[in-house]
Amino acid sequence: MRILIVITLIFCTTLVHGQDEKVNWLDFEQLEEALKKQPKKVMVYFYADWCAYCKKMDRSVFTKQDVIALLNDNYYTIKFNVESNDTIQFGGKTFTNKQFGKKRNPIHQIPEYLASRQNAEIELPATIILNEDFEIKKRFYRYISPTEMLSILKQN
Amino acid sequence: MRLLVLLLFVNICFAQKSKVNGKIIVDNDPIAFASIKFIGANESYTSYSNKDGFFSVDIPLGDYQLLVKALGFKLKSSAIKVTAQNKNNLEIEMIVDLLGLDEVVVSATRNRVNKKEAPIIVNTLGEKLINATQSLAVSESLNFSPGVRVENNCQNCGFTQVRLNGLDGSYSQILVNSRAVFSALNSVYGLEQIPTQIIDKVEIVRSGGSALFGSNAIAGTVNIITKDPVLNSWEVGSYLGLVDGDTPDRVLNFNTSIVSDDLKTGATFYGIHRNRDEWDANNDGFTEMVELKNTTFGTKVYYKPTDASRLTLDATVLNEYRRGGDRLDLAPHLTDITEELEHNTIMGGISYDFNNEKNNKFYSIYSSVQYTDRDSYYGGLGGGRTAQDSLTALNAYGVTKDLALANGFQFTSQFKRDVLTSGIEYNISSTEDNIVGYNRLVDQDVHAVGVYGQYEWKPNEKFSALIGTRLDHINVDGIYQVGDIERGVDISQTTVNPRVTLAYKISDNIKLRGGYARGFRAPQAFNEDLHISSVGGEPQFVILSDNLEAEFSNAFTGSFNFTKDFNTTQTNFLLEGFYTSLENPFTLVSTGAQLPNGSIVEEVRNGEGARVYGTNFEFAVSPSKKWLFQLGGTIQSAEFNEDQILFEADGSNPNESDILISEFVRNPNFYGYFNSNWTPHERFSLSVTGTYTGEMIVPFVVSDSGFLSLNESPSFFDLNLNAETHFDVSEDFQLTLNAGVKNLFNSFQDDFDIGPTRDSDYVYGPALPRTFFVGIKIGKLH
Repeated sequence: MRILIVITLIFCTTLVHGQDEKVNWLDFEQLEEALKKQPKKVMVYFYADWCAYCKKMDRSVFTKQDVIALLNDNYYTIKFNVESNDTIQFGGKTFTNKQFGKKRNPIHQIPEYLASRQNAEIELPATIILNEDFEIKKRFYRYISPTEMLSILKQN
Repeated sequence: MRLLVLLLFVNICFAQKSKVNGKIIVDNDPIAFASIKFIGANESYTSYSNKDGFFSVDIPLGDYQLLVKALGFKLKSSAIKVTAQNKNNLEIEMIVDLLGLDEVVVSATRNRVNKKEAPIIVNTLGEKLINATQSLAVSESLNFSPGVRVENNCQNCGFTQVRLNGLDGSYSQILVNSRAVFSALNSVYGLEQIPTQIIDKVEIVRSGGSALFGSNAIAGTVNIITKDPVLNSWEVGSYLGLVDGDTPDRVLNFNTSIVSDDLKTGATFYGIHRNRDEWDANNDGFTEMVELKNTTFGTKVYYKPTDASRLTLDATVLNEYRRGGDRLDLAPHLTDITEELEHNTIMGGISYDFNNEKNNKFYSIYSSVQYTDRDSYYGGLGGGRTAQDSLTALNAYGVTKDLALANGFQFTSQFKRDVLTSGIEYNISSTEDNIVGYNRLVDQDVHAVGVYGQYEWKPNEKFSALIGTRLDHINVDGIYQVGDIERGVDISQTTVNPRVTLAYKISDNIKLRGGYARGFRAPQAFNEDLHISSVGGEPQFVILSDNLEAEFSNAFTGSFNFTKDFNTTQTNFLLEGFYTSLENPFTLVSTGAQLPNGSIVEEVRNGEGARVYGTNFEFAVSPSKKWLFQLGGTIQSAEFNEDQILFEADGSNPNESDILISEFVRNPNFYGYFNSNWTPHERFSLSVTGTYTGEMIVPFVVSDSGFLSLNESPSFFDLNLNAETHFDVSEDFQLTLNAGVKNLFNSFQDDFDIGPTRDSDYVYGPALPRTFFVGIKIGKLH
């Protein structure tokens, strides 16, 4: 009987553990450290509180076990609120949100760096894929479905 | 600005692409994550520098225009020759930008103050305002837009209509999801029947600016757009209002959305039940506000077979019961006055939208339908107790069938800057309203074919023009009877109606617009003509006169729009002038008690020409996300060119003569609204909203013959408060509580006519007396 309980417990823990698997989001400081130790591909995901399709990405894409597995194994992943007011140290430079307090939707310098386009506004959600040398490979300014995300992550 | 080109290698020049390597620097320090664009004669190539400032790109050797963008540095633009010599070591030096950044903007999706880029001014009423005013039906929220006023027209049945720029309901086109399925019959009670819970937003365009709308949109269009699903969410809500402190108004509603992970399919479902008791303002036993029971449910579903196509289906079913008059517990024919209506309406549509691969050609095929089956009772004993009174009362039951169909195809082509929209539309509207007892019949079929083309021309950044024209062929076949009067309309007419709007951007903040639109209406029964009121204890009917001719309009608008953000403060100011002239306007003329039973008949005639002109203004400022202030209104005049007859005396009473009037009745020269909202915290918000209605002339029937007195109404100020608090119980469960009061100062009409012989049309001013309310909403709200 006791053994049965233990087995059940172990089974439950694994099950819970299996479901609890989450995307291992890093911040930029952690990313810098990680890139120095072991270069890996990077995915940067930009969102804002008011963006409905970003919420959809959070709930429907970054919760899928195969997406999570692929991301955690092969990528460093960063999730960044474009309206954040944090000061970020990265690559020996300081990035801030210079528009904070000046604009209604203030954009941080980080997304301006990585996601700005010519003749077009940044549209959210924005997903940036970079290679091991932190060179931008692909940029997406739209909702990406789980299946598409898998193929993007496998391709690059 | 220096461009250092270091020559290192000597190589033979190849025509094909070569690998070009380089580095972006400032004072010998590398610049990471800069974007480097080589613009060649035929093609351009983009690359980004890595964290050490290095970049590489595959391009053919030759001459390029170089564009380098990096944050905190000035945009660098210079000519460069990429040769075999320099291709492996291009060094590009940047200059630090001391004056600030070249700005990057995020889509202005969350502006609290509307940005007005479009050539036509569109006012949008969204969820926020509906919430702030706690509007239960569309009719309640429309007042909060310049130039729009909703009025209640009958205390027996609660007939409402929306006036745009002072012109009555029949001059506006009401669209549901951009389709013209709101029939003449729907426009009698429909605005009060559509619950706000199903609405995503309401878009209002004043005056006939766009050729996409029907030619009968002389005063403008009101487009009711139902909710589109994005997130998986659900919501259950309830509202309890106490009208005048004691008459309950209860609402229970739900809605839920499910959208697949790939966004290829989605559905939203909603349902609302409302139950409001009748209310009597002056204790004469006759209602001022009708009893209302409304159950609505519906869905909107979409499916995307491919990335470039979408199939959308929507359907709403509504069942509404309303009754006003006296002794609502008795059968209608045993009362003095009863107006009782039971509507069963289904509204729905299907549309298939697709576009080409390049995403610049869009096609839409649609078909929408509305069908209403209505049981009515307009009548009663009217204070009399004779056998004849009883017989008449017993025969006042009626049946109505109403069908509207809108089918069309639209093609939109986007060029570099310009947009061409063209389409064809076929609309059918068929109404049969029959009350045997009065020998009352409206049997009307309207077929309309419209072909339109519109070109949005933007030759440069500053100037844009919307030039369009619409060809309408309309066929009206109608029989109108009441008592011994019989009229008919059989008309086929083709008209061409041009529309032009010009817009000029003086600066980033100031935009001027000017427009002209021609409109026309074929003679037919509109909203008011289908409504039966009660005067002197007898029903009052409207009938079209013989030889009614089409009505034409010329509308001019001009506007000044200032929009500017001062740091986080958003401001918007709009000043708009309008001038509309009407030829042969359809005008209601009371011909007195014509029918044998003493019923008054009003005739629709081609009235004197008229002009409606004035100014709409709107001012909005939002200093931060916490505050929003909005103020708008209209100052206007609506005059007949020659005095218009309103009542035609039959000469039997020497004290009664014809009544003539020089201006429109029921139309204030000044009306407006304000809307303010304070959200100090994510969890709490407070709204104060209000409307002002200026003095106006309201006709009042003072004798059995239908003789009128022209009364001047006082002005009204209707103030509403709503406080709301929000709790995020968990990520998947939230709760919103709210409470407040509508019409805080109880600014309300105080001279209602009384008793069984009252003039039920003599109503004006705010729709509700002081009303307290509480509400709750639970669910996965966001």
